[in-house]
Amino acid sequence: MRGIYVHIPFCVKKCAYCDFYSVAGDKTALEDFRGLLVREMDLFAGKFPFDAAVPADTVFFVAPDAEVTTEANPGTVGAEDFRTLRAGGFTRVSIGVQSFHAQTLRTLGRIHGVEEVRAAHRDARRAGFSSIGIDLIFGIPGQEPSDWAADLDISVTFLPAHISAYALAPEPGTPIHRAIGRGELSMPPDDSVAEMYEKTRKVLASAGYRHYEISNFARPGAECRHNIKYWRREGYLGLGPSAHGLFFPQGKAPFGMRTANPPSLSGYRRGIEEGCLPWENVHICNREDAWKESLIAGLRMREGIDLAEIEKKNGPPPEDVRRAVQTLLSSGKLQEKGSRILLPVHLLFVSNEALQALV
Amino acid sequence: MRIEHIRNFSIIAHIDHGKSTLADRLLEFTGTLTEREKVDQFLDKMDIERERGITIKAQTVRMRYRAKDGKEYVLNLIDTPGHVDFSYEVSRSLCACEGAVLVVDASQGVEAQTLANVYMALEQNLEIVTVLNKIDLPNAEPDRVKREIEEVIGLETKDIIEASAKKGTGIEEILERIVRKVPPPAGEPEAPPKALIVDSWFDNYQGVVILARVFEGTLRPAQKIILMSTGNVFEIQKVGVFCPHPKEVDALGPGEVGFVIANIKDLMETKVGDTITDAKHRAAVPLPGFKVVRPMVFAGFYPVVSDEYGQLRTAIEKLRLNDASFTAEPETSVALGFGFRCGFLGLLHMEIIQERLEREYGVELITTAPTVGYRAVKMDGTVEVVDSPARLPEPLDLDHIEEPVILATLHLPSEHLGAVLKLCEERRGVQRQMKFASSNRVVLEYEMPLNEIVLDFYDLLKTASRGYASMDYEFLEFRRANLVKLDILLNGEKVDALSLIVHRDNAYPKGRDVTERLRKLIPRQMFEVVIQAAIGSKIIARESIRAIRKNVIAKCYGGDITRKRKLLEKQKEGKKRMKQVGTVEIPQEAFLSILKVKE
Ligand SMILES: Nc1nc2c(ncn2[C@@H]2O[C@H](COP(=O)(O)OP(=O)(O)OP(=O)(O)O)[C@@H](O)[C@H]2O)c(=O)[nH]1
Ligand code: SF4
Ligand SMILES: [Mg+2]
Repeated sequence: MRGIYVHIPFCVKKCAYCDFYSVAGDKTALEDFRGLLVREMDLFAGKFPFDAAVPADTVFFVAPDAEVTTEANPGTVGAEDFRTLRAGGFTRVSIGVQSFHAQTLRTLGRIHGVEEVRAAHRDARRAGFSSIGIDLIFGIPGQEPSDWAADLDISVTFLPAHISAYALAPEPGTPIHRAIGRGELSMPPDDSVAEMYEKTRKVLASAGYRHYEISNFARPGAECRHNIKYWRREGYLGLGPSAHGLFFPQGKAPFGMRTANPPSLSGYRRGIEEGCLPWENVHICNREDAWKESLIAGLRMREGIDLAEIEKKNGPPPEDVRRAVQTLLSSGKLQEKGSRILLPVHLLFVSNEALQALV
Repeated sequence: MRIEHIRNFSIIAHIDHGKSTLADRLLEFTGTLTEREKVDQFLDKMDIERERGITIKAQTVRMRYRAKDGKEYVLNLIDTPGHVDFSYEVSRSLCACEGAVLVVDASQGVEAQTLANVYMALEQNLEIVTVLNKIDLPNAEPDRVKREIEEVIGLETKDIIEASAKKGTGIEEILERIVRKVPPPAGEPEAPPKALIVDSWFDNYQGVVILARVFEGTLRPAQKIILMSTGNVFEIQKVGVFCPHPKEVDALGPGEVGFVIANIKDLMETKVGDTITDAKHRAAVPLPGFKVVRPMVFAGFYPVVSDEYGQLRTAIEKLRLNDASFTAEPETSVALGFGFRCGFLGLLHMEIIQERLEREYGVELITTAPTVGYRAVKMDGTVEVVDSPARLPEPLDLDHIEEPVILATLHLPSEHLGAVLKLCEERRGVQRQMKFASSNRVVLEYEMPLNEIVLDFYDLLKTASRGYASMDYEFLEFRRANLVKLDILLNGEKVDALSLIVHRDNAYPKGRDVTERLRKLIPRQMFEVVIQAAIGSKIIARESIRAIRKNVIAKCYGGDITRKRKLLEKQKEGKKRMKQVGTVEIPQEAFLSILKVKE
């Protein structure tokens, strides 16, 4: 079973920290975009046909129990929209809250306030969405640990099924990165960000959320199935500009093939209009890639990895990878739990220090 | 060639006074170099010499010069280094000469190596031609400097030559003076040969090349020779001269300086200072030869990647073929694994060797803090030479330690006297003499422990005197001192490669300094790192580095794992320059930096 990621690159306004590809305020391109997306799907299905089990005349077959999520920014999706989405087959909504703190929202360049979040949450719920997640960001310039604690307290009162809490990483090219470079903003010290992370784990655990990946928390059973595919190195199709995909075409790339669409509408359109998949980058993975990726992605999960399972899929590990895992285990940077290997919980927020050894 | 027409001379001076530049002009004026070959400091051939703008190795060239008296002379020039680490090169070069051209920078005046080198020349009874160089400089003070030459050195300055090696003025005058003033060599062509080995090096094609000065007799191809210190016999294949490129000649007669190639495979055979004679027609007594130079400074060299030990060994062996003045012995460190304990003439020498190993042989090195050689006198009366703090005998076995003491001569303008005296006192110096060389120049003599000056003293001296003081030193003796071993512990484990030998009075400040320095240098790691300094079991300083708190990729960018992997790869690359010691990762600079000057 394959996952699909669709990147629809239109935002009302660009946020200060965002380095996803998207264009702001351009409504005219949207109509045209729908057509391109459909053609991209056709092209894919034509080139890599699905298994015989798929009903005739169906290009993409959505399983009846599929998880279908949409991102929703507060203030941009109304009650009516949520009803339409629900009726159209969406099962899950992820609301981009980021913060409840007015100043912090301004720093992030978000266009909504607390009221819009309440409204979005209420409307989604009324439209029949039972699985609602909210996304939060911490470690933001100007944010104090107490501000973050307050954000967490408010978040849990919504009783969302899922909470993502990301530490901000200012990416080059974003306004927030430039403002930090100019000295107008400064990142909170690492110690304070680490403290916020610890706080997150504590507050959410006591509110009944299971910490299942470095930055993700869910009520049991409400984990995001799509994201888990990334971390378990299962296939997913990336559609739309800048989307990445991983899939395993039969007999062609036993260790998987990674694709990347160009991060621009024009590049994307050009490809499709020429009648080919708009891939800008295609990488056929080898065994080493498969192992390394399985480890660095899999170890993000609290459940960790099962070496035997990875070996079953990809064959024996390259020697240096095997040795690196041993060294990490013997130095306590990884731990064994039954047949699985995982990152000790106190090292999650410094996980790069351990994962480095595996690339 | 007639012996009366030979002139052998060295160019000597304090560092940077313009010896090599003057050599360029002499080579040009005599037409020894073709137009195409001209480059600045032609004789500084090594990359390192050219980059640093200093001479490290003495170089010999033969020139032909038709003097104003109408006769053609053979002039043999030796350009020498000015830096104190290489002063043995000067003394050897002087042994091959009858004269010396003393160059004094007209803006700097007489400095420490000016005097040291002139004394060496006078000791060997050489005729001295004094040249006041750089008179083109706007801040040249010919009159003041002439007074200094008279008062400090005691040389006549009536007929001193004013020159500019840069502009090419005074060159002919220098050549004329050499011809007239430097005496021709003496010696009998038919006498039993006596030739001094001035230098020797290894050439991949020819084997060992000897640079020799013939004092008596004649050397020619096919001749059987004996190296007198070993008694080993070889047959000469070629003899020749450098002009400036090697050129074979039929014979080297008395007074001549040139190369001898005799199918010698091992550089250790040809000891510099040894005498070459004829196997049948033997000289009765060898020439006096040279004092053996001994390394003064020692440091551990370890490969960053332990697999490169073999490569390092090969590189050291090769380099030693051309520089017998540095020593190397295998050594094992608990912290750093297999490496070498190397000995050098001074810190510049060490830096140069280190740089050549890294650049010419591509091995990445961890260098431990340099130390001087100590004598450890044990309870049972035996003496051990200790060139590595890790090898100091156990305290129970140790009666006392003796350290090398040098006699330093410092030249400085009197306005900086206060600052320089203070510095010398801080470095446990004992004043032996203070005299005014002229109304505003002072010459100081201090007895000082070598370990106090070896690393940073020279820089501090320059700072204290705004660059005007200069220093020369020579080894005096070993002297008993109250020294202790300072150990450094990381998370409770002693790191042998970080140990130091220090004076007891300095142990506390040094301990604090080193621990603080390491705290700044060692990056935060996954666990807290505790750095301690200890004398025996007593902890005298402590610092700690808190564990790293944040290094995480929080977000998965739309399934783009490649980006995540690249970021991790970059971080991993950054760690490559770290050495894992126990559980702690130490940047390679840390080992050397612990002794650096306080910022
Ligand atoms: N203005 C001026 N500069 C000179 C003159 N002679 C040499 N220099 C400069 O002084 C610097 C040192 O010259 P070198 O010839 O390398 O000095 P050196 O005495 O051989 O130095 P070491 O071999 O390192 O002891 C160079 O930058 C030269 O260009 C001169 O007559 N006038
Ligand atoms: S963060 Fe989301 S809403 Fe903001 S600019 Fe990026 S894609 Fe658009
Ligand atoms: Mg020179």
